[in-house]
Amino acid sequence: MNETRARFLLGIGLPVTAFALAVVPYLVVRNDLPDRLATHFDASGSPDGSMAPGMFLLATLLMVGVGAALCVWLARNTKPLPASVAPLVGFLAGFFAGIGAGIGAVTVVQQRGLENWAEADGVAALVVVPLVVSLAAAAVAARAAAALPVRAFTPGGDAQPKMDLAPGQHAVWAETVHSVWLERLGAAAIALGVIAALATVWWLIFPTVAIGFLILSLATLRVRADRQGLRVRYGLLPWPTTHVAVGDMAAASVIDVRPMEWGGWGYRGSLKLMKQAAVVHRAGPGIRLDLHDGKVFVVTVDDPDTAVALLNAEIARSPQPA
Amino acid sequence: MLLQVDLASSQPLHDQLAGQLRYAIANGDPAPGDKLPPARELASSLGVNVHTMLRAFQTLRDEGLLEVRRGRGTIVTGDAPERLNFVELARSLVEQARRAGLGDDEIRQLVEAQL
Repeated sequence: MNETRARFLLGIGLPVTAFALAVVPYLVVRNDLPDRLATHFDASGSPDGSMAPGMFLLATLLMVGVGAALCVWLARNTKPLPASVAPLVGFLAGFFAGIGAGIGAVTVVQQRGLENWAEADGVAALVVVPLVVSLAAAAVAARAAAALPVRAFTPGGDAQPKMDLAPGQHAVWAETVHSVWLERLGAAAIALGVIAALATVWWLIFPTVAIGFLILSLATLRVRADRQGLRVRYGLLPWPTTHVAVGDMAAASVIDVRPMEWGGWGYRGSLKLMKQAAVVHRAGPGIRLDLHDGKVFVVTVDDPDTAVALLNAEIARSPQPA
Repeated sequence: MLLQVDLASSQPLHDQLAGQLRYAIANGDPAPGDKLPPARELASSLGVNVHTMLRAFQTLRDEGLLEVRRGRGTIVTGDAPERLNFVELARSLVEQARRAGLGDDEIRQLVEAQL
């Protein structure tokens, strides 16, 4: 997708389609609608909340409006965004627009001809259709946003530190990154889970303890750079690890990590699925690896200069792909 | 923490590693109380035998710069930065005495005479 097409899709195509989905079915069937529309359903699928049709239209338009506004902002924005931000904003924009439009369209079509909102059913379609529509819209918007110009980053370069290593010289750099608040958060999640399990439903203990351990495993990271590459171990267990081989690296760089540019705190993204992953403990210095296949890996550490210098020296003396 | 070894150098590897560890401690990374990465990992990263790495750890334990705590691994001692001065003095004493032709027993006698 080229930039012109992407800007057209975001600025006109998606917003117009979403508004049309929210408004046109309503206008077509508005004379056949009951006095109030069922807008909320209980766990068994029976309606338990309603709205006047006008209010309902306003509510869906508001949701579509938020998504459309974000889309239009992306389309009109001329200042390049960080590469990781634009697709995320696009995804959210598409999702909001799609979910508003989907709920709006399905609700009025389903409840056309009803005498009373309490007779409404078909809640499964009301969940599935808007979800599918919103995910599709999110995917389209994210792809379009990815085609917009991004803030350029030149990996490596002369400005990046590089260690002097003689042919027979080997080096290792190791750092343990520890986050006290992540550790407290993990411990709190486990404690809360145990309390909740004792007080309410016993099986609550499984998800909360699992989440607690997940947070705890991110609280302590062991990062190591050597002639083989960069390795990150999470928590105190030998598994999982992330290993990026020197042979796959095009360049290592010292960067200032702004968590929101990488999707927030924790393990963000996926090297396998999203071509980008960032292990973010805090805002501040970090290592950025640009791989030959375009993938990017980022990890926050206190002393990225030494690690980057070592890795750039190893990259320089490793055989490069043609 | 950064460690380097030169496999081509005539200086024994465990000696190089002990020197690198001291240098790292002198630079405050690792700081007192910090845990060292496992010797096995450091050795495999540097391409040296794990026993060579452990021998360097042992030297620094003897010098009072490292201690092994059960269940916690190898830790930099609290007074390591101050001790480093005396380690350097002792090393230079031994080196100069040897250069002057003194044997190990004579050097021990010299130190004990001052105690």
